This record gives sequence, C-alpha cells and structure tokens, in this order.
Amino acid sequence: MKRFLITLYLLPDENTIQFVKQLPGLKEIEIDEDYGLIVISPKRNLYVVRVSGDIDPDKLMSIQPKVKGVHTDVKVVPTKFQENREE
Amino acid sequence: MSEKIKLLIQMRYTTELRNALTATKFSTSAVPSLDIPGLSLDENYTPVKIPKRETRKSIGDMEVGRLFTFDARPEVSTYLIRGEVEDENSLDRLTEKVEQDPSAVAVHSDARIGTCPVCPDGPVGSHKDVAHLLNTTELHANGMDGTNVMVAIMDTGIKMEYLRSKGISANFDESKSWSPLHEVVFKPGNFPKDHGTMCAFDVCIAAPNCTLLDYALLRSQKRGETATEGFLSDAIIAYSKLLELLSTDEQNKPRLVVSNSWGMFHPSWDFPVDHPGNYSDNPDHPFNIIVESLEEAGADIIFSAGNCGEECADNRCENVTDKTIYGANSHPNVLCVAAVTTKKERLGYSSKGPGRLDPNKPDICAYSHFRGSEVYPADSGTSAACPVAAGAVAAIRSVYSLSDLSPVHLRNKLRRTAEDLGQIGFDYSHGYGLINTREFITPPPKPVKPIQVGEPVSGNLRKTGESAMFKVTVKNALNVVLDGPEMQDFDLYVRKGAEPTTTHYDDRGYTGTAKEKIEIPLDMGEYYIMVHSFRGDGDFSLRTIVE
Repeated sequence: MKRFLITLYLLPDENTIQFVKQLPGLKEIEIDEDYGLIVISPKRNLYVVRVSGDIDPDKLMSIQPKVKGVHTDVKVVPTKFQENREE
Repeated sequence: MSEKIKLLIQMRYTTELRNALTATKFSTSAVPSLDIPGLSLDENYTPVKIPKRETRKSIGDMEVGRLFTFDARPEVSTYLIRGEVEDENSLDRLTEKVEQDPSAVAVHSDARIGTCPVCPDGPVGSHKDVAHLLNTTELHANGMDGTNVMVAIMDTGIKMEYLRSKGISANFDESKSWSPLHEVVFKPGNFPKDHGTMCAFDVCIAAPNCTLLDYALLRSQKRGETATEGFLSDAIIAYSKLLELLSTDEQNKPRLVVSNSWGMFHPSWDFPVDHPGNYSDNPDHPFNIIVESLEEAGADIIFSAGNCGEECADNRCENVTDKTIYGANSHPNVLCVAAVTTKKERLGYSSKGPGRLDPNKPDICAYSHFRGSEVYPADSGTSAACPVAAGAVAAIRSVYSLSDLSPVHLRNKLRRTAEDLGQIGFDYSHGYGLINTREFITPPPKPVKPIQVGEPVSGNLRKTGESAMFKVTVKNALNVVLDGPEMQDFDLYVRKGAEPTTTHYDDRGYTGTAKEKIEIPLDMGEYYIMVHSFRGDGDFSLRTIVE
C-alpha cells in the first residue's frame, strides 16, 4: 500500500491528531497514529501526518483546505560508497 | 633511460612573446634568456597568456567565490612556455637561472593528468592526516574542540562502546537522542557498529570534546528492505525532536550541528519532478520545510552531496549522474559537502552540481576515503566527508556563538574562505573549494591599550576579523575618529565599562569604509574602544577629541 505525507495548516487550537482525524476528506483515510502529528514549521503553523492508501491529492485538497500538500515518503539510504558490484 | 621532466616556464611580457601568441610556430628566439643547456623548449606549443590576477579589495557579503579580478592586457599578463629538461640537475640549474632572470616568473611542473578524478581501491591516508589538514592542533589550542556543542548523527545509530575502544572521549547524551525503534536492544548509543559509528568517529577528528546525539533514522525497519535504510517520514520525526530541543530555551539556545550522510540515489525512488508530491526538486516537501525550520531555529545542518559522480558512481545511481544532489542535500539552508582525498584530489564518485533545490551546490569539499574508524577498510563516500566537515563546524561553534555567527553567516564564511580547487572560484565538482578552518582560528586576545584624550594613536589590523582594543577615561563629551586605509572596511565599537564585541556594544559606526566617527556623550567613566576589521587589512589611526 502506498504511503504519503500530508502537510496541514493548523491553528494552535487545532494541532491534535484527534482534530485532524475528524476533518472531512481525512477521516476516510488511514492515518498512522503511531507516527502522530508532527510540527514542521512552527512559524507557518505547518504540520505533517503519515497516511496509507490510494489518495487523489487534487480531490483531497479541494475537499479540505487545511491540506497544503500531499507528498511522497521517499526511501533514503546512507551515502557510504558502494563499489560497482552485483547486489 | 630515465624520462625527461616536463615543465612550464612563466615569463613576463615582451613584444616577442605577445607576437608569438599568433605565430604558427613558437620560435625559441623569442626568449633568448632561456637558452640554457639541458633545456629544450616545445616549438609546437603556442605560448599561453595568463591574465594578471589581483585580490579584490572589496567583496560584498553575497559575492562568495568572486575573490579576484583579472587584467588581460598583454603588457601586464604573463606567458607560459612548455619545455623539458633531462634530469633533476638540469631542473635545478633552470630554476636558479629563472630566479635570477627579471623577465621570468617561475618554473612549474607540467604534471601528468588523467581524464578521471581518483576512484581509489583502498584508503588514501588516515584520520591523522585529516586531523593535520584540518589544523586540529591549532584549533584545539584555541578552544575549538567541540566543547559545549551537540552534534546529532542522523544515521544508522552509534555504537559508543566501539568508539570508546578507538580512543574517542566525546560526551554522549542519550536523553537528547532518538530512535525510531521501540525495542530495548537497540537503544541510542548501542546500535550495531555500522555507518553511523563511522560518522561519529569522523566528527570527533576535529571536535573530540563535542556531545554526540544519536538519531538512528536509517534504522526504520518497518518498510525498509535492509537494516540501514529509512524514509523521509522518519527523518521528519527526527528533525522535529531537534526542533523541540532548540525551542525549549530561547535565551540560552544550545549549539547544535546536524550531520546527515544519507540521501536518495535515483529519481525512480521519488515521484516525478513535475508531480506536486515530488521531493527531490520541491522546496514545499515537508522534509524540506522542516530543514528550513531547524536551520532558522539555529542549527548548522550539514549534508553529504551523494555518490553519483560520473567518474565512478555508486551502483545504486543506476547510471544517472546528472543533477544528482537531490532534495535536502541541495537545500539552500544546508552546507552540502563533496569529497576529496587527503591529497586534495576529487573523489570521482562525489556527486556534482547543480543541486536540485539550489543550483549552487555542492558548497564545499571535505576529506574522505581515508583509514579512520576501521568500521570499514576506508571511511568513504561523501558519507565520511560530511561528518569531517560537521566536526570542523562543531569545533568552530565552540567559540562562535549564534549571535557571533548565525548559521547562514557561518556557511557564507566557510564558502568564502574555502581553499579553491578545480576551476577558479565556484565549480560544480568542488563547490567553493576545500574546507579551511584556519580563517576561524581566533587570535589570542590583544592587550587593551590605555590612551589619553587628544592623544593620536595608530595600529595595524593584519586580516579580516582582527581587532585592536583601547581604553579612555571620559570627563567630557568626546568624538572618537577612526581613519584607516582606502577600500577596506574597519568598524569602530564603543562600550562603557567593558570591552565591546561585535555583538555587545553601546555604539558603533556604520560606514562601509575604514573612516568612522562616534560621539561619546558626557557620561563620565571608562570607555573601551574597539577597531575591528570587517573586511581587509592595513594601518589605522585613532583620535579622541573633546567636542
């Protein structure tokens, strides 16, 4: 199942996972509660949640104005040099 | 028979040399003073004109890498001629002759070059060589050793026990560390000896007294195919923990360096560039936003450039070697580090710019592919270059507070003072050049010189950043007048009862020159006056005049 990161604009009294879970457009999506609600820019009131499933970003953003972006959760690895060899 | 020694001779302007630039064949008669036994000049090599290079007198804050001006007029230029000598004795004779010849400048080696930067099989030098090249003896003697600086290793976890066995005595703070695993076995500081342990070792080359924090974000095993990979969502949590750390005490903000030897290796790992959910080219990806937030909160963030340099790219790059500094590794708010050997040769696997988010990447180079932690045969990749640079930054941070030097100013100074490698100025292989700690070494404090009102005094500032301190007892309102050299920028700072610094003062001058004037109102007491070189060097004079 695909995994995404959803960026949300939340006011100080809205920054709980419970608030996010009941938002139209988001309550139908599987939100990773273990991951939680993470602040990514305190100045800009931006937060992120991790979700799974098939998501139509354009549709979600049109339903829910608090959603500011739907992004990929990219795999990352160490930049230790691996010589060219068969894995 | 031994091989002849190839060389280049740099000559001053003559009309014969200028004419030789357009001749079909170079005639040795153009340089009669080089008629030396044992030297043969290459008649097929047209002399090459080298414009005169001069250090710029005035450099704007944003003009990093533009340190020189060039004058290409024939009469001020010099000219390179190619030749060869039989042996070392002939070379010595030639060098001696050239030194005495007013029309000659120097003899240079015409070194053999290959098409590839180095792709070494084994380590080149050791961590002791890296320490020497980073001037750690001098740094540590000036208190620049990482004391009171936290360095977060954002990696696969650290094995502190192993580091201790290698003589590393850095502090470790488990309470400020974090792990994505909820298992008890792998607690911060107790992960298997791996990539993260190598990074921690390399930080300690320049910053042996730092406090290590373990952020094992590449140990997210929920979805990763191997034990040492993670996801950006893990990195976001890790960064949010660090953001909390810097937000708890605004007045007494901890000094934090964040070392990131990781990244993505191929565009297929990401959404396409034109997709709004893309990471690599998208400053609005949540990880790129939190990087910006953490830097703004006061962290010095260092990233490896990546290992997709075209000459010997990592196999995970899958032959994609163009624009391979992806996402946060190319973020404008981080220091992106490319890799060179201890012989200052670019490692062919080091990713080249332009960066995806900020085209002017990498920023600088640091050492890699040396025998160090012994976690692997060589501490390699831009993975090792990144913590080497992070350690140097931590050492610098020991004495430069955030108010002395903000993260952006520190990055700019690192770029501006880097030892230029490759092409002159910035290039996509080396950035602004090799990390150079020498410019950060604080000179020992100068004694305060008491002066009398009306007494003219003089002094000299030898380089940017240097200061001279004076003390005067004020009984009347005074004018303090500074007069320094043209085209330099010296600043005047005044403080009552204590020595001023560039951040703590009662009054200061604001001209962009070395001529400044400050009025001290009638408020009797002892005043300290500092003359500080914001840019440049030279003699100055100072007068205190009763109004």
